[in-house]
Amino acid sequence: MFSHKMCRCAAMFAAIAIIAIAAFGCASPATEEPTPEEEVDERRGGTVVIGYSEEPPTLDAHATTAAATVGVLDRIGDPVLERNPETGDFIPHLAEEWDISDDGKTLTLSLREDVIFHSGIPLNAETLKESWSRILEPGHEVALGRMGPLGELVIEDDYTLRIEMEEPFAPLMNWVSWRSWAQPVDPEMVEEFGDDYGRNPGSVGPYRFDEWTTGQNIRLVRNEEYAWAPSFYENQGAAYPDALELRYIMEDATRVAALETGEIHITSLPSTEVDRFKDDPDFEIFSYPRGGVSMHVLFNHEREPMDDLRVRQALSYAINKPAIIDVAADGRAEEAHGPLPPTMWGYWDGVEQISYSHDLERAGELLDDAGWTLESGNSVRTRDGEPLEITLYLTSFDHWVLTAEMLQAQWRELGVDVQIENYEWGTVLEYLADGRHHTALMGYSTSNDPDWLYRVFHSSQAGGAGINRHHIRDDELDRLVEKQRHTMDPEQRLEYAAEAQRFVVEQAVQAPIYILTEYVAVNQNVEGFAIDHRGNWLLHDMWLND
Amino acid sequence: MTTYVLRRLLSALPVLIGVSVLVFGMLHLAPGDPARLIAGDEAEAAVLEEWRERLGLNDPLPTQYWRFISGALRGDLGHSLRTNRPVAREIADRIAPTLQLAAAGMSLAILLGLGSGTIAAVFHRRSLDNVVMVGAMLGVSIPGFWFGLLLIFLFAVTLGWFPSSGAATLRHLVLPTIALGVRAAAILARMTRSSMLEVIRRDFVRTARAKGLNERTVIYRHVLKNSLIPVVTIIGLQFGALLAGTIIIEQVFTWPGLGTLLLHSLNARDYPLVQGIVLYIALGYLAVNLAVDLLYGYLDPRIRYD
Amino acid sequence: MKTEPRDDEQTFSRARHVFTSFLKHRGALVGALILVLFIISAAGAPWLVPYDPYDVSAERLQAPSSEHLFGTDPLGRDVFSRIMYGGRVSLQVGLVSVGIAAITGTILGLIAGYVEGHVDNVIMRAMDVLLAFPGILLAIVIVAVLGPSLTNLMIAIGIASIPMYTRLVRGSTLAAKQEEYVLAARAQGMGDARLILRHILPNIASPIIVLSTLGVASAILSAAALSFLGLGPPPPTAEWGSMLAGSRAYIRRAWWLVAFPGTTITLCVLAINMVGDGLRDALDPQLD
Repeated sequence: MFSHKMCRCAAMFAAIAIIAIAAFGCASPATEEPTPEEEVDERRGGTVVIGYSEEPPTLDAHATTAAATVGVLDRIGDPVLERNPETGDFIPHLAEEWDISDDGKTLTLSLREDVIFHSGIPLNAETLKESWSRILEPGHEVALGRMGPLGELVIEDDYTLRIEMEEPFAPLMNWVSWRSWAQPVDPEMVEEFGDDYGRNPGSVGPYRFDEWTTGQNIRLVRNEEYAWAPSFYENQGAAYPDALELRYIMEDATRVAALETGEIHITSLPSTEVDRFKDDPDFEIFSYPRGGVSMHVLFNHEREPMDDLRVRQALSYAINKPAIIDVAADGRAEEAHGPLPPTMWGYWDGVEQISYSHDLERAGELLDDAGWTLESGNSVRTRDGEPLEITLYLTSFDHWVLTAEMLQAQWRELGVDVQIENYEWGTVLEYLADGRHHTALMGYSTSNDPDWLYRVFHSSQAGGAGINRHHIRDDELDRLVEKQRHTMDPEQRLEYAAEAQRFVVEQAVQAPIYILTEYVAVNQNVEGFAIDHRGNWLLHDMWLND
Repeated sequence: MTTYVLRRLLSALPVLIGVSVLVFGMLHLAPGDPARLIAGDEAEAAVLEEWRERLGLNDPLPTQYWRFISGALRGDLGHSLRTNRPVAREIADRIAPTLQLAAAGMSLAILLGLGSGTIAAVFHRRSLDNVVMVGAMLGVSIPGFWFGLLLIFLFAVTLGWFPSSGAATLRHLVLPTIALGVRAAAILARMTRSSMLEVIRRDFVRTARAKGLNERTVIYRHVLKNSLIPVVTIIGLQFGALLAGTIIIEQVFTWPGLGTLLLHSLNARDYPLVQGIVLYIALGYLAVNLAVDLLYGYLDPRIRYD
Repeated sequence: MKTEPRDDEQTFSRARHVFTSFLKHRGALVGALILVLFIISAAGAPWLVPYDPYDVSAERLQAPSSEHLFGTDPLGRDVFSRIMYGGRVSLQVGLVSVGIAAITGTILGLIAGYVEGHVDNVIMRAMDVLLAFPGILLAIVIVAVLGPSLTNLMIAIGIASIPMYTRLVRGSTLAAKQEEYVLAARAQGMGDARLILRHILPNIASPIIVLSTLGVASAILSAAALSFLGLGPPPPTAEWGSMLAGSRAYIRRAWWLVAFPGTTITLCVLAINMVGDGLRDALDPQLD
């Protein structure tokens, strides 16, 4: 594989590359001599290797919503606004100040003046506008979809940009602070690489993109210019490690083995491995609830018998959440009570009082009441001779299958026959949009704004038009989720969001099950690794101690 | 000879076209909408429709097939739907690791298979023969992916001798090579043994022995060479099977090859990429077959190509 | 393979010969014994299992003990019982998919070899296309298209192995056609169908039997591999391959989840291979 000839060849290439870099380096003002004090900082240096299971399809922020892509862009870019790691409140970052107009239709951002892109050009109102305008180009609908009723981007002066909306859009602030598609993209690199920008991304973050070996890893190197770290970091200068290597290892077992052998420093642990690492002094374990609601059951309101409130409630009462959590998540998850997670701004804790806890007797009564009765000698309930058989659609992500098998067993106890329909992700999405299902497993993690309620429950999003896979069309629910979307006053918005959540639970629109706990193992050689309350990795104080 | 090669190449064309029709037809019959996977599971209907239009998925199937096959004949396999890079480049990125792995697995299989097969034949009906044959029997019966997992936990995790995944250095190659090669090695060992036993029984070997040639010369000079002919066929056939086997072994060791890419793009309904990979694999298979037939003629001069 | 037409006595003595040489084959005997045990345990599973293989219980991930011979899985189901039930699925997959492949392949091979000419050409080019598609890849695509289910798994594996049988049968048919007794029967005006059924098929049966036996073994391996990739029968079906695929995550904490299904597959495949080997030696067909 590595013949002598190849080595010579490589050496020659390396020599040419060094000469080339030296030649360009002299001409470019970007490479400065490191200052002496930086040189003696023992925290500087080394390559931190992070293991992921999923490789990104592209690094173009505007072309995908893949979580794997966000994991890389978070390192090479910065959001325009940050959030306080403890409270979740918005705090200044690339924008030093912001202002929302009284009618809720415009957001004015004042940018700091010392930020430069990886290509060396400055971040200002013009380059930020260019960056965001790219979202409107064809092929970037993915990012646009999250931006709502965008009107126009107006440059007020060199460092002031105004976003004008067609109607008040409460999730806008959240959008602006988003960590992938709202990050500025380097206009010069977009220009240079064109269609290939997704393999050569640039932004304003602490690391710059270096190399992507398809199927193996992505290498990022320290951005020496970086001097605009968010205020909550101790380190206000460039990052400590020379480089980050993001290594892609699909198989859990293999990834964990690589963690143990020291090949990778940081990776998230499958729940089954947590116990083993907990007592290992070589690793520190961080845990936090995953964003969103990791597991819930969708009821299809357009199909009998799911259109009957009593049936939906009965199925909800028959779910033994702790038992499912034990099996599917190895006990490492929190029970979910409503459509939003407690870590999300806008969560209404009232759902905890009115949610359904395991009560098989109550469930049986509700079904009896609805006409589905259990004849002696039968194991499945019937109504007018018709057995109570429903489908459960899912895709075979790791913990989904176990959840489905548990649900199947629990509903069977109630006298409901469940047929598991297991398809690939793309196929499941198509079938759910068509409404083939009675029930389906679903989970989400990326949304962190209560506008999620609009997207999954509003009637305009049903029937394949959006992601209302409950196929519910209810005027009252529509009104509530519309209000939360268009109300700019945070207090009032919270009230509408709470009403919507109450409705969803009372009407058993869906059956929330659990929110997974994420575990991250960090090699003890890595210092300064931190995670905020919403699960964002805070890496700027991180250094390698070896 | 040249005309024979040309004719074989020409006859490969209808097979390739058949493969292209088959993979195109099956993909487009499959449920699952590439637009939905590209636009994200949260995309709205209007966005999906725009994507379908842009990707040409709304055209009639024959039009789409023609676009694919006429492009392919010009050497243009189109762009991946998922990454928007040319299919040829996506494949180029992944084909080297797969060929490396397959070549290493095949080399191991040939060394181990021919070696142990010869030993078994020479020590026919003795305990060494039995050991080899039992080993070979196990080798063809063990599920490759399970064997791979066992190797990882023995040599990577417990003993720490080899890395468990990735493809950076020669050391990374060791475990997947064993997991991949063991089946072919077992099959080759059995084939070599039986082929040699058959040759040993033949007259010219008896004559050679009668002439007083020493046993080693007889085995190497006469038996081994004459036994190789059927073995070469098996090597050719096994190389095809080995290439297919990489799909699963690559999953176990997260080897960044064509198999991993294929499964990914199948799940993402990345039509152009799946079609491109399948065409490449079919092409490779046909090339190996041709090579085997030519080698066959070289080893057995009685065969004429006409 | 001897090819004279046989009367019943000859058939009988040949069968006896085959049987005795099979019996002399130690490996084949051991294999047959293990296989019989597998068949008994699979057929009798509903009566023999200590627990209901689908019964979820709170005794999760219990190590092997006298109570649970092979331990329990994450849902608290008894692994031993699931393996016994899994045998039903695996043997079924093996037999049905080989049935699909052998029957289709034999018919196509007989037609191709007997009729020759254009028909032969078309059939064999189609087989070339299937062969150029690596078997496992073909099966993956078929399952992806038809959706994962036991039936589709069997169809996929079956279709992928058709070309092997077609090639074998075509070759043997071409050879058998030249045999004197076939030529003689034809000269006597025997119809094509009868000629094929009475004279050709019985004479090419041995290699088909051997290939089919070995085919069951490789079908079981293919099924396990496809289940490993998530293309197996839907849960909660107990199937060896999917049991293994689902338990990868537990390999350190619950080694029995990985060890027992894997060993079972290996043992079962090994047994079938040994039987196939014995049959091959006894029937002595030239297979490549």
